[in-house]
Amino acid sequence: MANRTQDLNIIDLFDRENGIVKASIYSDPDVYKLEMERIFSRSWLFLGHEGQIPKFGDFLVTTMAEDSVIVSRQGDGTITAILNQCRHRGNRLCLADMGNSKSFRCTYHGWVYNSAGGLVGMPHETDGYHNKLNKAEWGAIRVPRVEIHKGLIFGNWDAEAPALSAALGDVAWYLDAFLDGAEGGIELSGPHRHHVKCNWKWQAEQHGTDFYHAAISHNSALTALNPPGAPPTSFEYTQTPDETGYQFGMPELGHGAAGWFPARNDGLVRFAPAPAPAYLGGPAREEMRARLGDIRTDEMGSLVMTVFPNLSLNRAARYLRVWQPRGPNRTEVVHYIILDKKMPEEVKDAIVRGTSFSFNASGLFEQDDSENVALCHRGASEGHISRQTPLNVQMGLGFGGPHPDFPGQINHVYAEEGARAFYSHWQDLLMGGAK
Amino acid sequence: MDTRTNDALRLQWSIEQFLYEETGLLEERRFAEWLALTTDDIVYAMPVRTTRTLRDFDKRFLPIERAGHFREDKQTLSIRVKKLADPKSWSENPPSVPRIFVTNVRVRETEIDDEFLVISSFMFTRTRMEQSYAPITGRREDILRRAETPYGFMLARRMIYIDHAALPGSGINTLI
Repeated sequence: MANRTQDLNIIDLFDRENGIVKASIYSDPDVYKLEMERIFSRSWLFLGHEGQIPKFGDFLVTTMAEDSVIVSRQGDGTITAILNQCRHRGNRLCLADMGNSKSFRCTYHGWVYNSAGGLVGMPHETDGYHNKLNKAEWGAIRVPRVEIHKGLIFGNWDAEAPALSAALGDVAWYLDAFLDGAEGGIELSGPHRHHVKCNWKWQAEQHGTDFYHAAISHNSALTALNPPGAPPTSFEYTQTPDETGYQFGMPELGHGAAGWFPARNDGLVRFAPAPAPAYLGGPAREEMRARLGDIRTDEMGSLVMTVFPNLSLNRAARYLRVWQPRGPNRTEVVHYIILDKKMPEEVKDAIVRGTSFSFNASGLFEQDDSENVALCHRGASEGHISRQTPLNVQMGLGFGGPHPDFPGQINHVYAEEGARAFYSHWQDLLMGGAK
Repeated sequence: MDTRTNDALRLQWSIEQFLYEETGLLEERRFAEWLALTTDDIVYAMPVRTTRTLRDFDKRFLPIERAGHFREDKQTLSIRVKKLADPKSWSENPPSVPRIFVTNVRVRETEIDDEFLVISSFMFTRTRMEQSYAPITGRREDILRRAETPYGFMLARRMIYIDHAALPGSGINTLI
């Protein structure tokens, strides 16, 4: 592994000066192993939302990349995350996806752990272990860092990692547009989970950068949603008449965001049926304006973004998802619908309908995205020659710069500023550099 | 054979024939004809399964008001069918080959005379180009309503309870 890793020549995998990525990064098992070691063991990873585990003993099971973890609410109100693994023979401690339990008993020999990971006891502690087993040393592995941003729970395996707020940096301004628009905050509905045969980076990168695909990939979905008699949607489709929009990239941290700004018409109510548009366009909008300001209320309804490495959000479709790596060639999509906690039940129901119809695993838009990324993956990974191909990430290269309203490195909406930021930070981490 | 048994057999047979015919339309991608066999008030939904312990087993499907792989009514089904007919619907052009096996059909009377609860098991597979996707298995719980159609019924409700906590096979592009 060590020699193979040196052979990787990480500097050649992405040429940031010229915007070129090597096709092999999506399928090379050695790249994947290095990502697990140097990205997913050092970055802040999304675990869930506080509202999913409100009471003492509430837990959810999720993964940090491929590692299964149990996220629990403790008696003092804090949240812990532990590796879902018994220290005796490595068995899973919890098989349920969620529930309430203050302890977990391994089903093999019965070692019992509290939900913070402490080893409480085991059968035959006296006659088998002669009371010599130091339980304090044999607790479940703790995720050393757990921090919360406006209800979103993140974990980090690196005890020395910078604070979550530093890792988010300027992307928090964009992220908060999803989280902070209503008193009481959000709740997450789901998770919906499905598998796609592709590398995790395809969609993580894509959500931080790509509005370019929409008019082509989603042409049939956009046309199907047009009123009867309307002409088919153009391949040159733009959301706004003046073809504006922005894209944010943050190469030091890997984040990206984009949108047809200003999308004054319907961004925030794009997919939800009645009564959601009336609610979202009425009092909820005024509250949002008071909390988030005019720009994030009126102009950023189509915001789509990626928080490095694998958390993505879509504001018009109101989803939050995690691209969980399942080996180099498979991704588990963990998809939540974002609701404001205070919304009336019928509005929540309408939003769930709208998002299911558009972007859940069977959604009109998701269908074409899933198929395209699976085919990208095949194209870039099947064939010796195909894996060596330099792929083009050059859109808008050299045209980025500062903007008075939007933080970060800003470019036109049709650019790959976010993708270059993603791969720059990805490469820095693979080389063992900046956190 | 007494009349009651005879009636029950005829009902079972005619409902099975309906299921095979409407499923055949989905397999043959005759989606508009399938849509014509659904009532205007159709509910078509696929709840999300989670893995739960026995104590919480009745909570294994998330509430349909909050989550669903499908949450459809007549209007959204119509839009889906319209998209499937569009040559620019890339995920289905060239078309995948859907195959749906329906079995274990049980018929239950309901409080409404001409409506029947029909429970069945299914396996759905999709093949495209040289690739077969992982099969999806589950249980359909349908409400069939007697009607003047070629097959004697219309579909008024389809609840699809899948077996998988995580959907295999890159999502679903057609209908089950």
